[in-house]
Amino acid sequence: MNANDRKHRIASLERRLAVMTHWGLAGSFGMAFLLSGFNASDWTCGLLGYALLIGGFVGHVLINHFFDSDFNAGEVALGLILFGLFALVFVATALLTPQYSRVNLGLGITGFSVMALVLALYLIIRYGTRGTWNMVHSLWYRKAGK
Amino acid sequence: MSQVLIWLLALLALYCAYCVLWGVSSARVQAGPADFLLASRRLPSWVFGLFATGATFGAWSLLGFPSLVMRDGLQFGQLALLAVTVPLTGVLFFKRQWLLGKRHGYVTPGEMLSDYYGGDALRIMVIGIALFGALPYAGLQLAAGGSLVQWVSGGAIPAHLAMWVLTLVLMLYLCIGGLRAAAYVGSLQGLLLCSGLLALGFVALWHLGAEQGFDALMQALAKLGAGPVGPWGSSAQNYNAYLASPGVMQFTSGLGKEAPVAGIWTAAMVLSTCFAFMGIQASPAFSMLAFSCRDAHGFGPQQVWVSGAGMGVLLVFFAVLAGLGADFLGATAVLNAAGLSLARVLPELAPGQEGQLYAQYLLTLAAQSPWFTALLTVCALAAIHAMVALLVTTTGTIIVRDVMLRYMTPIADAAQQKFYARCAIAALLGCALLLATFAPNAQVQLGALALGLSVQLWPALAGVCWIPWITREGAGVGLVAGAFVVLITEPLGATICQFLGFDLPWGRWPWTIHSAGWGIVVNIVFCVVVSWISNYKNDRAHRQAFHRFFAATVAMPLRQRFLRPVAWSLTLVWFFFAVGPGAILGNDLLGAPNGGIAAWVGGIPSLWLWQMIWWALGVMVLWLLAYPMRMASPPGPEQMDLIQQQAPG
Repeated sequence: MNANDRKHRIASLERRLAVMTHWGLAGSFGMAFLLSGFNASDWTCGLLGYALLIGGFVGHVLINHFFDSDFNAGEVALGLILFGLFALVFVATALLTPQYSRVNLGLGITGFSVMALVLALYLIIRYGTRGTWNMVHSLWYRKAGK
Repeated sequence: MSQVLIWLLALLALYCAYCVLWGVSSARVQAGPADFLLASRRLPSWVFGLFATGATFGAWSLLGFPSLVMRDGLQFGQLALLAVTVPLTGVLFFKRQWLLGKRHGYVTPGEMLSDYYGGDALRIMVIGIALFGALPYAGLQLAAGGSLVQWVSGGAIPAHLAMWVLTLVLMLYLCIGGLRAAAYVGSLQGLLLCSGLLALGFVALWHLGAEQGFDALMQALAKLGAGPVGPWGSSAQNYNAYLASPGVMQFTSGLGKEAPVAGIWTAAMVLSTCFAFMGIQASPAFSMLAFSCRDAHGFGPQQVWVSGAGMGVLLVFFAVLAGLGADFLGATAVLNAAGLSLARVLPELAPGQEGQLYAQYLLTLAAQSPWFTALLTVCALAAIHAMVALLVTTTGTIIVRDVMLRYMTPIADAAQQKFYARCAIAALLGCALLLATFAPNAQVQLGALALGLSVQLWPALAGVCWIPWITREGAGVGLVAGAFVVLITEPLGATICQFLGFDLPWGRWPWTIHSAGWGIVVNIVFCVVVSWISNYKNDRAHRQAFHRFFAATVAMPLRQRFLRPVAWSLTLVWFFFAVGPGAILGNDLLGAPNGGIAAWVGGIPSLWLWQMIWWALGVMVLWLLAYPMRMASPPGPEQMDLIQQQAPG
């Protein structure tokens, strides 16, 4: 490993450290508040959890800006998988639990909508409306093998 | 298996995986012993800021501070101002040590002191001080972590098992990744410590009654202040000693011989304890952390904003709130019996059990939010690991550089140096564990010396960084005399004397002055007198070369030098009123403690408000010293060029 390679690897490592440190805090406390919110059907706790998760996302964007980089493929994949998984768990719980709490239902719908909105907003601010559309469109084409 | 236990095991597993991941990631970019021992002097400033904060305040601020506020009240709360005094050491010494590290390539403070003063005596003393920090003091922290897991798990995980497993994880990532891994993991640990303190305050507030909780607490304090109920009775001014300082100084023989009246936390005790804690950042571990920084951009923000302002707000408001709140939430039998408690959320903690307060607070969340109980436990364990990781990795490096390379195997190659460092880290942690498991009493006695001994390095560091007048003989004799006085004003000194067949006429901390206070006074006296006697011209010329380098690179411009007397006068005034004798004015200047809420300015007990005001002023003093006085601000581009030109390699 020559000096330049090493410098580059350390810079990349430091970015990863910043991301993981940041999510280590925002993610853990965000999830804990979210769980408390759903467990106690408490709007305040639940919304605080979402706020922390969204704060985590905003912080991640700032870290990207600071390190002059973008979300890498692994981060995008992990984010989408976790978002999908949580959405699936929420829908399944809401459907399968008799007399599911209306507060929890509201919390889930509000939270997931806000998170999706924040993601869309980020994409539009970062890539513009046309750019975002083209990106989604090309992804869809690539997946469909067209 | 309880829900808390399941969550605790899951989160501990995640935390351990995170630690090992960064150990391995750090090892992958290692390119020689310099990387393992000192992160190649390339630690980014934000990592330094978070790691230094976690390692400075450690678990003591989470596990110890609120417990002692609960036991001793606002007279102990005065020590929240440690958030200002502790980083003051960093403001004074970090930047200049970092500069010398860049210029001369020092890896350990022993090398720096030895090069500056000449001779090996100070190097050997540094090794001794580092060992006191890494063995008994680190062992105390690890034992506290084990006990915390035992209490939170309801005894399902024995303390020793938790301590051994968590220490093995610590050993694993430190042996793999060295100081870089310690610092990388330390950045999250620093954040978790701050979050833990914040959460603790909110938990207390929530139990006290959410939005009205603070008002309820103030009313309860007003009721308490009306009479002498409490562990310490009334002070000389006839105030409840829970809400007032017990005087400037009490001429008692010391703990174990004569108990002070109305509490131990006199102004002299608070000031000398502040000196003891200022030893943390004067310790060899922090000198090495300063050497390992890429640039000086992190020093000012860490000292002024993260430590002074951030940790200050957490200690002065949240930790004190948690401690005071616990008294009225059922933790204090005397107040329960007097009918002063607001709720019985916490179990009564008998004298000696105060250390369980954090765990008991967490257990109040167990039924509704077991994940929070587990998460906040991990916060405390992370804070413990941050401090231990720094102490152990740097002491390992000191052993390699100042013992192995200096005296035993001077021609050790890169691989051997790394191997020795790994062995040293493993051996230190192993010894700390054995001490904590099999000789806890000896560990407590030895650990009590660590802070007092570290602060004895102050005059030697002041010589290197600021005062060329201090000689090798002065620094060395002062350090030995100070360390001796620390020893004989702590229980270990009394034990040694008993072993030798005589009794000391004083106990621990006579005249309500902490051993570190006695030590530093004697140290300074000896240092000044011996330096005056031994100020040879040729030695002075050698030392002066270092100070010419400072003058060329980081000295204040002439047009700003008028700030010096202003800044130092303000610093002395701050010390006098915030943590010195003037602090007793805070007893009733802003409302007599027995006057009730109507008499208190802002509806807050006078002493607490006094602490808040002086904390805010303290942050301003820190800022003045760090930035306008340029003691912690980064050098400009021209100065950096000069430093680069003079740097080796």
